[in-house]
Amino acid sequence: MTDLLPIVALSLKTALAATLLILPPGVWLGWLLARRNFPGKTLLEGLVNIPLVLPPVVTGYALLFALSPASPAGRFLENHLGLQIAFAWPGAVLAAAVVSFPLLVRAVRVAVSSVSPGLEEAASVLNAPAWAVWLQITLPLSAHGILGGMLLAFARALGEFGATIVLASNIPARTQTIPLAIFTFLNQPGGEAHIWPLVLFSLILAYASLLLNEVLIRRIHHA
Amino acid sequence: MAGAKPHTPFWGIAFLAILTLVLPHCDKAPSPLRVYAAASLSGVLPQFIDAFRTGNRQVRIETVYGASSVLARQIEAGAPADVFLSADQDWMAFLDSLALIRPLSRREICRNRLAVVCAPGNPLNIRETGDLLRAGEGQIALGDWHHVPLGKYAHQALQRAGLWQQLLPRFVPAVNARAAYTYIWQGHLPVGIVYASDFSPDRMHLTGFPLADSLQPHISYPGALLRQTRHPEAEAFLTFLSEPDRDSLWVENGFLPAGPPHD
Repeated sequence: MTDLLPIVALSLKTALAATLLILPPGVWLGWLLARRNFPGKTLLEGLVNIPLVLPPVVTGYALLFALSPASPAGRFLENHLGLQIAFAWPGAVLAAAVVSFPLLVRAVRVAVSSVSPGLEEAASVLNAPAWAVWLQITLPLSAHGILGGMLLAFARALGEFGATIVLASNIPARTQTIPLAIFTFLNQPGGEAHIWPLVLFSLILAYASLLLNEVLIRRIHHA
Repeated sequence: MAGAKPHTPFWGIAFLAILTLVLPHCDKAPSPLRVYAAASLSGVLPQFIDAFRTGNRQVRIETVYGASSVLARQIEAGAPADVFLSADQDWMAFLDSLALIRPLSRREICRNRLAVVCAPGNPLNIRETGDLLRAGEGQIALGDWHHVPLGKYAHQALQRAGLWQQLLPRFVPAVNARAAYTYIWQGHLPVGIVYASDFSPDRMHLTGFPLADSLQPHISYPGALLRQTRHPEAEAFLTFLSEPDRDSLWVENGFLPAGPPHD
C-alpha cells in the first residue's frame, strides 16, 4: 500500500501540471470561440476538438513523432532548453494536457457564452478598457464554468493512458501514473492486490470531480 | 412521427444493426485456429503459417501478438485461444498452474539470444555491453522487466554483468519485445536490449551485437495447446513448429532451434 502512494502522488502532480498548462490557452481559446467571429473559425474549432475523438494512441504517436529525440523539434528542445519530452515526465504532462485540452475549451466557451454581452457592452460604454471588462465582468461571471472545465480536464488528465504510454512510456517513479501502474500490475500474477486500491482511488477522484463539476454548472444556471 | 413513414432512416439503421449482429453467425467456414504468440514471433510466424498451409489449404489461422504476459493474462481471463506460444517458461508455467493448458502438449519450439542494438548511425558509439555505462545520459529501451519476458531476460543478463543498478534510471520499459525494438528502429531511442532475432531481418541501417555468451540467459520459447481447444489442426500446427525439419527456418530468422533440456 505504501508503495502505491508515490504512484498516486505522481498522478496528481501530472494531472495538476497538465491542467495548469492548458489553463491560459484554454481560457483564451474558449473566450475567442464564444465572443469572436473570424474566417477559419470552424476549422479552428475542429482542430481544438480533434483529441476528443482521435484514439489517444494516435495523439501519443503524433506527439512522439514530432517531439522524439530523433526529431528536429525534440532535438532543439533538448539541446537549447534542456527539456526532454519523450520518455520523460514532461511527456506525461504534455500527453495529458493535449487530451484534456478540448474539455476545458468547451467548458470555457459555454461559460463565457452564458455571460450577457450587454453587461460587457455597458462596461465598455463606461470607457472601461478591454482587459478591465474581461477581468471584472466576464471572468467573475464565468468563473464557475471555467472551474468546472478545469475539473473535467483534471479528471481526464488523471485517467490518460494511451497517449501517455506511447509518448512517455511506463517508467516507474517518472511517468508511471495510476492507469499505467494498473496496466503493469494487471500483467503480473498476483498484481490484483495492488490494483484495487488504485482503482478505488481513481473512482473516488473521478466521481468527486464530476460531482463538483455538476454542482458548479447548477450554480451557473441559478446565477 | 418516425413510425408514420416506412422509409425513415431509423429503420434503415436498425436493419443494418441487426444485419451486423446476425451475419457473423451465418459463417459456414470452419472456425479459425487461434494462435496467441509472443510479440517477438510476429516476424517469423507468418512464414511458418504459410509453410503449414501449403500442406493444408483448408485451415485458417488467426494470430494475436503481444507480450507473453499480456496474452497469458488474457487467456487466464478466458480469451478464446487454441495455441499459446510464450517467450518464456514462467508464463507458460503460470497457465499450467491454473490448469489452462494441456501439460503433455507443452514443448519447446525455439530459443533466442539477447543483443544490444543501436539506432541508425550508432549515435552513442557502443561497441560492447560495457559501453552502455559510458554512454552517459542516453536512454535504453528494453521490455518492461516487471512482466515482459524480454525485460526479465535483460534484467538477468545486466544483473549478471553488474550493470543493472547503475543503468536503472536510464531504462525505458516497452510493452512488448517488438515495441522495444521499434523504439530503436525508428530512432526514438539510441540503444536497447532486444532479441537477436528482432534485428536480423533488416540490420542494414542498425548496428548491434549479441551479448557475450557468459551473460546470455537461457531463452526458451514454449508452446502448448490450451485446455479448451477443440480445433482439429491445433496439435498438428504445434508439432509442425517444433519438428527438426523446421530448424533451418528458425535459424534463418535469427532464432536458435529447440534443443535438449537445459541444465
